[in-house]
Amino acid sequence: MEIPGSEGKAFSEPDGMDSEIRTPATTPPMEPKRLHPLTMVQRVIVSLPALVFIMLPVLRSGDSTAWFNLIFGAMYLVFIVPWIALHYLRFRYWITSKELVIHSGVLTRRRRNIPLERIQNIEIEQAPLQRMLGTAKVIVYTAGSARAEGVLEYVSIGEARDIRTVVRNLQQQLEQEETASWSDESLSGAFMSDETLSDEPLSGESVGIQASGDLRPSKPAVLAGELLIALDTRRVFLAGAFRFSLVYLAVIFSFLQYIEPDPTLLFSWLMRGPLEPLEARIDASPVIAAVMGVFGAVMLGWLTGVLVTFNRYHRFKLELIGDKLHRSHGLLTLKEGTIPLSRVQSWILRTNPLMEAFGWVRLEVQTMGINIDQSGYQVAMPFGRMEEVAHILAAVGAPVMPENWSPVSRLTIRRFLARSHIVLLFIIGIVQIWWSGIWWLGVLSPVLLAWSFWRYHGMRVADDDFWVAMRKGVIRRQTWLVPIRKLQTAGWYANWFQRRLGLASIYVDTAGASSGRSAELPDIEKLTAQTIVTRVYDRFQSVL
Amino acid sequence: METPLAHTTSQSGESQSDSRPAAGSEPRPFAGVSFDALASLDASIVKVWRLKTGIFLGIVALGVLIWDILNAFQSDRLLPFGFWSLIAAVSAGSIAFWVPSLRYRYWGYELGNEELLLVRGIFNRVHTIIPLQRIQHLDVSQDIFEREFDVAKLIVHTAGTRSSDVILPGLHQDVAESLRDEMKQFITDQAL
Repeated sequence: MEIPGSEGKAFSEPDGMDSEIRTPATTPPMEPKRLHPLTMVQRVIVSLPALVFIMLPVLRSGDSTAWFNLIFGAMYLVFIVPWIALHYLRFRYWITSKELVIHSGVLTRRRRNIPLERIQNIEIEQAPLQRMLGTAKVIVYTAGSARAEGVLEYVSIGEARDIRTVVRNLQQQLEQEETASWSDESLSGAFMSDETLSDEPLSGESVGIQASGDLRPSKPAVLAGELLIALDTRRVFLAGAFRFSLVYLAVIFSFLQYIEPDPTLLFSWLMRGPLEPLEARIDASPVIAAVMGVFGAVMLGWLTGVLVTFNRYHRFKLELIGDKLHRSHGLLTLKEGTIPLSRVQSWILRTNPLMEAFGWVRLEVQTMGINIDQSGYQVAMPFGRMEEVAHILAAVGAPVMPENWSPVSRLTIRRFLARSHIVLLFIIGIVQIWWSGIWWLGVLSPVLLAWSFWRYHGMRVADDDFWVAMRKGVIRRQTWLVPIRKLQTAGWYANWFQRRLGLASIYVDTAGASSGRSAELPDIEKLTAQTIVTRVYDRFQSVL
Repeated sequence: METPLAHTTSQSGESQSDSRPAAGSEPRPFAGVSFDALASLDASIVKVWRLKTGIFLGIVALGVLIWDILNAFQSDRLLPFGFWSLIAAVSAGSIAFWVPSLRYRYWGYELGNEELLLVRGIFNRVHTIIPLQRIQHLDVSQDIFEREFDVAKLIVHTAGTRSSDVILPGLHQDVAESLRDEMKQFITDQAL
């Protein structure tokens, strides 16, 4: 696959740094500003597909009796276009020394003030259209809500970066002022748990991660980033090769549904020319057809995986700027965003057996209140080595991962086997009312046996002064690294079966974890489970 | 009801209590958590739960009775009239009687030095440690049944997800309020 290198370069050229250097440390508050004028053009272009969709029956058949559609089309021209213009005229934004102000709305006027110290993350996004026009979308996330708090669609790319720099500088000034009058203000925040806690000095090894935080006031306003990881083209390609995507199925199906082609016609069109003798063969043998079908589907899935990954993670770069992780990536749509380290709740290593065999992992962070569309999980490194993970952890000041992994109880094999076989027998029992041949499903039994052993083998737990770590998963393997000081609640639980076997599951809850995916591990020996949880809690108390 | 825990956790207790800011009214040193000395809920909560479950299951049983009456004159009926109604009534009655008392039996809580400990669950028994520092806010609430029996529930909100709202039901109203005040006191003391 060819990489339009020049295009990518335009974005990652050091003009980001330029603008940071250009902007003085103390930025005067901005005047009210409008969005980029090209916003209107972009909005019209973006809304065109909807118009085409409305007008489709008219366009396709030249049928002028489709009154309904014609009326809609006319309404579009009468309302939407002026609406876009009015929206542009109404939209104002500016930054004062304390807040970001956005005035918007055509009929309902909205005046939004976002206090600067609440801003956690400013994301800059450039889809292909915006890249052609030199504009960008600025998305502002705050601590309070998981949704985007303010969106500027669209400003020029230079302006977008200026906004980010100005906000960052002003935030630093505010923090300095706050540290100068270090009083009740920061302490009464005990209720706000995380924010305050992460700003308090910590004992022991955990000091490292705070070092950047403590240095903040004395740091110059212009920060040079430390590059943590950059993925080259080869690496991104490799990352895609290990990924299997079925997105194409959805695309193909929705496309087919829309144009409704005749499958046999389509097939003979595909098989025209030199492939014609092949068509006869395939028609003759259903086995070849099936094999080719499966092979084609797998290849397509693999290829889509490569393409999707390439599009998303091209030129992936992770930098540490101050106390924030700065991330930029993308081939068609460029994204730049930040992850404040204080918002990071836990680190998750993901891998699968194939990736693991070649020594690759993916590093994610679970954050709090950022980007609901990723449900609180952000990729810190899409594809890399364990050493690189260690490097990133070291760079942000976290101690090395715990090594004292201990397995869970072997009884978990038994429980899993029992559970899965009950389900299996149930399915067989139900289906065999209609079809007695279902007994074949019994071959799954040894598979389940192997699976249960493998599952047991992957389940580990470890803890030290800084971390609680849990590892689990058979195909989708994950390792949770939870800093003990990020703990919200902890505990263990055991259902009736587990209690009979003297087992318990442990869990460590962090802020913003989605309920389905949290750090918990089943079937640990009950006493061990209790010991681990109470020990972790003890350390939590000594850390705070 | 539960086997005592192995206390392997208090080795560093002494040194911690030194570095910790004195929590005013609570000078006791921190020495690990233990689920040994749990307090039970107020016994009246059993009545509240029985009443609530009884009403809910009673409505279900009533539905079965109506169905039975509607089918009373069906000629191909195998079972005598009122059979299903009887079964529904008996099972509703026994569930409404036994389950609340089991729930009560397996509920326990303790307000430790710096944490709230909870144990609950008939089938799935959950032990939870909630550090008081992590509490976002506290509610004491009563519904109409609870008001009748002078019990209240204490709702503890944390920023976590799994147990962001931890509900401690069936406390006597005064107990609930004093628990809340104690926790509030701890949090304000910590802050100063």
